[in-house]
Amino acid sequence: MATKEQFAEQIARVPGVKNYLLARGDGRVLVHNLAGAERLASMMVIGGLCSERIRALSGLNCLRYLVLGRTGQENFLVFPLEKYLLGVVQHPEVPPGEVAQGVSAFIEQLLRSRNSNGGAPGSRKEEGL
Amino acid sequence: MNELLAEIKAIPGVIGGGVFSPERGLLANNLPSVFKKERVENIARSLIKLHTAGTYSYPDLLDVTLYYEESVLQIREVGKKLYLVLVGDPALNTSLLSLSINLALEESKGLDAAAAPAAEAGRGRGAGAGARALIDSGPLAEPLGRMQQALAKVIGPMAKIIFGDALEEWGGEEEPSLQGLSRLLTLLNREIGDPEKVRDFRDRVAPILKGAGAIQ
Repeated sequence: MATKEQFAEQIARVPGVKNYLLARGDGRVLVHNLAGAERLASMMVIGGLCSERIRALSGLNCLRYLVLGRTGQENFLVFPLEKYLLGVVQHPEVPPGEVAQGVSAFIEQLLRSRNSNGGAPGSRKEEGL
Repeated sequence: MNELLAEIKAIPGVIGGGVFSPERGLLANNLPSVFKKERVENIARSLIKLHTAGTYSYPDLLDVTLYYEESVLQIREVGKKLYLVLVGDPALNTSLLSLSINLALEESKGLDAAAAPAAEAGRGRGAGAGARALIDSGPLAEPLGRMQQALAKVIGPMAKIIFGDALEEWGGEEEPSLQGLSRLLTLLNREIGDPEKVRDFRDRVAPILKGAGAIQ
């Protein structure tokens, strides 16, 4: 079972990830290495709610991720992760598609490893993922 | 506006899109007919909410793109309170899309001018804007009120907005009069678009225009 610190260490190593923010579904920040984390976490929650409403309206399947494209190229990507939300700031020189692919693979691996260990997300409350 | 949408739709992977105003609803769209207007408007409102939330953290926000398993949705502000909403397939090249939108907007000098009522080219916006009040009082109030009611029966809740815009355009072109109501009818028919609904609307307003002496 990954702790917040282990999670932070691992996500920071994903190619193209400049900064990260992990928050609970209610917007409570768990771990991050960027400025304005509280505000970003709130935005992530709104993003999650809006994307869920759009999914319900359009009959689409689940959201893989969303990207806030910026003129400054440091795009912000949000990934739903069960009852958590993961936000990452991409390195400007790495295409967002590649960053998304790397983070998605990381999430899949994390969930696979958790399932094989028989754990449940958040079973160690704030420490466990 | 329609040209811009057509240009964007030509990009590989783009299914279609629409231009949305929070106040006026869906102004133009070229999405397949399975995308019902009301549903598209509700989706656009959620996207705008998300876009607005994003600008609080990132004032330089350009667009927001949502990647679902089978579709990609993108929203971008393309004018003052005007949003472009696009639907694409998962293989959509968003870099190409961004570049194409930038070029198209550059050519059209943004959408503000395109979104403004055509009345500006005629007697001027001031005269046109005053025409909206004709429905409230004066000799035209009664037939105009009945025409707006007929429009509401044909196209639903957007009728008031569309009727007001058409009034403004009519007032910008000519001095509104009972005899000129047939020109207003033409403008409204153009806004309705759908031939079947146009026929229905014509049938409903014919007695009103006849009563006002606008047609024989």
